[in-house]
Amino acid sequence: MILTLFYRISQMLFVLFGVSVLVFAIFFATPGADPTARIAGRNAAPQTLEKVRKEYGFDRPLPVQYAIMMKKLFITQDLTSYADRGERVVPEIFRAAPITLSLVGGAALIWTVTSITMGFIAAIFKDTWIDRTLMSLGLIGISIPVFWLGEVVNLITQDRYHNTWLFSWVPGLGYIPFSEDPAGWFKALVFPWCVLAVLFIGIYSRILRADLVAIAREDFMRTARAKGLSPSRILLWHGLRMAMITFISLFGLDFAQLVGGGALLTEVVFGLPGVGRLTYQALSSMDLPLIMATVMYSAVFVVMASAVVDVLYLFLDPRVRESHKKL
Amino acid sequence: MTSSPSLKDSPTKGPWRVALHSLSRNVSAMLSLCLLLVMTIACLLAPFYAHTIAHTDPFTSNVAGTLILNGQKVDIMQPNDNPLHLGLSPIGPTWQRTYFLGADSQGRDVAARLLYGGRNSLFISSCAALLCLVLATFIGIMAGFSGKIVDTILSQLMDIMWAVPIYLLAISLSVVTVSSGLHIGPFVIESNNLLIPIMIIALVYVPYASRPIRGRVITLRQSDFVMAAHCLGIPRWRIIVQDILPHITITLVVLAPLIMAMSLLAESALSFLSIGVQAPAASWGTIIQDGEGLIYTRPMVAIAPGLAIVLVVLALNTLGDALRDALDQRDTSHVETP
Repeated sequence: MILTLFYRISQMLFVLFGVSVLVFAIFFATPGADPTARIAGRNAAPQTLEKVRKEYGFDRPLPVQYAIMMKKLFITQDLTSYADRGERVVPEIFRAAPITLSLVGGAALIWTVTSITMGFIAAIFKDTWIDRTLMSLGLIGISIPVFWLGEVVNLITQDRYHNTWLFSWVPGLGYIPFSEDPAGWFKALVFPWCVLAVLFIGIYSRILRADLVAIAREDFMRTARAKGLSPSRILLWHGLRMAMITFISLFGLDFAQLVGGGALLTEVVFGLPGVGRLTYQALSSMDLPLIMATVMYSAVFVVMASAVVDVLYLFLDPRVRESHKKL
Repeated sequence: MTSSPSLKDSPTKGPWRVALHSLSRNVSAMLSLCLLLVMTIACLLAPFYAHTIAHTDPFTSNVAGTLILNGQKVDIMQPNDNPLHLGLSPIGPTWQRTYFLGADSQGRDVAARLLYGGRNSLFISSCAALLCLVLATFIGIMAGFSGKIVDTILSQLMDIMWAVPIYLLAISLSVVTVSSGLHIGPFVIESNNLLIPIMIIALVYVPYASRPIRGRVITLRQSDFVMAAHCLGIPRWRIIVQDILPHITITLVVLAPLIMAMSLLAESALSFLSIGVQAPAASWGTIIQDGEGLIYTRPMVAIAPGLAIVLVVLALNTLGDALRDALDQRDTSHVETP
């Protein structure tokens, strides 16, 4: 067990190291993408270029630049932005994180409840019109670009029908901190939550249905049926528990990706100043340290989440536990 | 949806014919296929529409222009009908030959731009899907067939790419290439070249596609006929070409529409963030971006390309599902990490 844990942690660190190298390489070693030229501006004089190169340390060898970057990012945490000179990047991310977390948390709650309900109902009514309708809805959800859906929702709730009783309570775009006004926080986030959740409701309900249908053919399900339990009860207590294994592993990764900035498009459309929008602003000003920091931050989340999921596996699936004992 | 060949048929039909047969009976799959064909043809006819039907140039700003509407001369940029918004706003949908869907903020015909944009969107997403599958096949076979060390290295590499959210990875790659293009040795790819989004999108989906391929190759490697080929002393490259490749084509065919759907969404997202297709060229994503500023006054500019994306992606996903059912590959395209 300890050996497994040790192996897992070392693998985690390795992946993190790999990600940092990859991200660094993208920004500083892509052929033709010279950060000096970007900071100095197009058609800058050679002297300016030289000065910028010296000042930012781009004249040093890449491994040294990498080491300095990582030191500033993780150890001293004083990496400063290129666009706003002197603005520290790490605290900026930590200021934006709660906003992203409230967006993603609410959306995750919605998509979990909705997709489990949809997938379960579809599996019970397998091959009927109910099943087909629910699954088609899921497919439509997968096919809608989230930023476009956000625009359309904004159009309806902020403009066209804003003055009707239906949407008059919707506040303008932006974020209201929970500590200031919990009700306002909720109102401001209802539609972003739903919009973000649509894609995942589609994915999860379809996967859950497929899993439930596959599990229904397993031996232990037949045994439970032979004992005289009702089909829907079996599906709920035994089938759903098995299906949750896939569900949780997907959920962990998706949740982590979104918290790490994957919700960028939703945040941009709804004007929520979270980590994703921070990345977006960094994009417009080509602020490499900020982009690098946000991408690294999201990778940390994803890697940690996949480790947590692995541990959860041990608790959920007795078969995995057995195979680990044998190792 | 799978139909098993009935016992009366002799000789037995091949798996492809069985699949094709069941696919042709799948109404939604056929509808999707028709929709995709119609969309593709419409987009290919974009120059014809722009020059012959609408008589507009969708790539030059036409703010001062006029058009003839119901026998009257009308300005393209009109005084605002909404008292809350200042300045001029472009003409809304005329539902006639010129400016069918109205104009964007630069006075360009949205309908014509939609067709031209569709060309780019469809071209980028299909090329990206193709390139992605080629790369993924290469990596999947290398990893699945070459044994431990190569497999470990490649899988770790894929894990590393997997740890970065796909959109963030694509955005990062786009940001560095969008301003200065890509310089590979003596070759320079300009930043407005469509090859750049194609390569970026293909690259970010490689881990997604290579995983099921690798799984399939590992199963195949342990199968009797590959073992037999090994024993006969057939060189590895010939085993790969003759035995492995034909068997993973099913996986590839199932993956292709799904990857194209994802590529289309990714392309539109990148273009929406203005780091995909570069102006003055259009794609469905850039038109949505153009329409963002007009969303409350002229919503059609943003709604129309979005609907086009939804329809095409929906058709591709439906087709992918139908193909998976027809070829009965449900197990291999949902392979999870071991």
